[in-house]
Amino acid sequence: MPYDDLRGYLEALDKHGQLLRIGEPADPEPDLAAAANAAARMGAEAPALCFENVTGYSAGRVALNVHGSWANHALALELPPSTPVREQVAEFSRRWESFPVAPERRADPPFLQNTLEGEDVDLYRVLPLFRLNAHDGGFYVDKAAVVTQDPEDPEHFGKQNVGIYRLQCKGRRHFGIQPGSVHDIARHLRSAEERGEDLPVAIALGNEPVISLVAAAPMAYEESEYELAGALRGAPAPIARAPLTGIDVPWGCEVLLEGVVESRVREIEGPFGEFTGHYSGGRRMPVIRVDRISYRTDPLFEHLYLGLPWTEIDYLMGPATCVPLLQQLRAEFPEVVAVNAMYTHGLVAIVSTRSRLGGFARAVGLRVATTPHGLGYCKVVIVVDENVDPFDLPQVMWALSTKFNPTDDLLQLPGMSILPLDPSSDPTGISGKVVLDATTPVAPDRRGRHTTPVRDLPETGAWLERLRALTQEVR
Amino acid sequence: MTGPDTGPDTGPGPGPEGEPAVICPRCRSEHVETVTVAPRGGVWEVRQCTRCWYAWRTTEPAARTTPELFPEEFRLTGQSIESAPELPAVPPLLERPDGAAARAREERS
Repeated sequence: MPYDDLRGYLEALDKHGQLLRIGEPADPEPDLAAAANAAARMGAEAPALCFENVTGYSAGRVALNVHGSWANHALALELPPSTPVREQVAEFSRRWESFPVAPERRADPPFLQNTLEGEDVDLYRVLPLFRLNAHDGGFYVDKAAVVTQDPEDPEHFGKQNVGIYRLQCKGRRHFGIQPGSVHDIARHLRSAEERGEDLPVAIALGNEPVISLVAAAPMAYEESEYELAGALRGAPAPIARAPLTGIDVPWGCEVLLEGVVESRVREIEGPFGEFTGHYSGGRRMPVIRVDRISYRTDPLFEHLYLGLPWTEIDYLMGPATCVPLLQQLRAEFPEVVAVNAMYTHGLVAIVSTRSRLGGFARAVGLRVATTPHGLGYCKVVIVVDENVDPFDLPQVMWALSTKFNPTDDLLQLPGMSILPLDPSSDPTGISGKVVLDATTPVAPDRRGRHTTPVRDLPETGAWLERLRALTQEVR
Repeated sequence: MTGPDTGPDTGPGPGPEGEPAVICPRCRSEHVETVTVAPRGGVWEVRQCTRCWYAWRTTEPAARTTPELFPEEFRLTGQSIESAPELPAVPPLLERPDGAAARAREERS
């Protein structure tokens, strides 16, 4: 049964031993971020954390590392927590095939229980805000579903965008927002600002777990994140109309902020320790004015620690980045078998493919760099044969070691676009890219001596099962 | 929202009762507001600079709250704030036959 809200998901995590409730007093800084930082170092089975007693706050509960392990990612998709990564990505991809699934409009969203409007709006009264990394410019919200509509076509459900963007709290009712140029919200904002108009925005915090996954997925512009959420949940995503802006928002969210991105305003923002493992900031960015806060009684503040990878964001974005790339590549090249773009949101991508003809693999590699996500990512693309598992890095290294000849198999692409957060880009937002063709050449490309590979013995599979069974007996 | 004050970087002036005024640990502006006080016990305050928007809680480590100890590489000045690049850049207003763009420009000037 899919989760309706964050609370339902936390109950499931609790049931599987994947949630630690911490009732002892914890300081907002540095305890909360340091604990989430530490959880990220616990590896694939790390738990979510729920702090219930934060110094100075009377009621604030803070949930951290909610998606921060493969076990938790599996449970978000209602899979057994021990499901291997490759199978989680494959299941994600299989469910994507049923996209789009229309959402379900539900009445009486719980976030209508409490309201602050106009001059009464005070983010600090509702959210126990705190600093994540030591040199962040302030207190951030970095795991909210930010929803905007296309000002030229506001009734188009698919053009409505649900994304996660970093939000720097500026006083009681303002945020700085980073709408990356390659993201859909930047398109909405540009359109509004060209008209000299504010852009209405709804910000939903504390959502059922699939909403966060789809908000992190680089979907095509006209594709609806809610319709993808329905496909991944195996049931329609529950949504409700936001009371002030009329924007469609997740029905079960803990807190809903509504307002506008103020037209043609830019203010200094940052820095903020980002998923690249580096701080970014020192730029003037747009500003959101919050006009209404709606919230559940005793709301949970869901927050995400990010920093030197891997942290929660890498689990959140990993499969959600692999699968749309796979779908987009397969639309033109059905030979593509799998995509692993889990490293820093796909700055490095590994693709396995069958080769239709000589030179095919590098065509696939170039296509990776020209997908919508490739506009800002896919700086290093490694293409391997169909029998190399891109999620098994020793296999990928074997392919690079033996199939790749730098004389002919390295394609360098100068002056490509990249997300400005990439600290190696120079000037900011511009980078070279490379395609490394580590596939076996096929006719008419007849280079190298690859005709006599060693293969696993035919009896290996049976022996593998036998050895596993014997190992279990010994243990 | 009011824009940042990008005036000269001044040192702390006298506070209301002769106490040194609170200044921003990052850009040393005097334009600092207390945005909230701990709802339980008043054990901390959150302060924010309205020039560079740096925010800090009074209970944080000294390197985050004290100008002299604030890391050099993260400090800002009025000039660095003013000259920071826009991201994304503000686009040109669309010119329309009804003069809507010109009106919007006037309203915002």
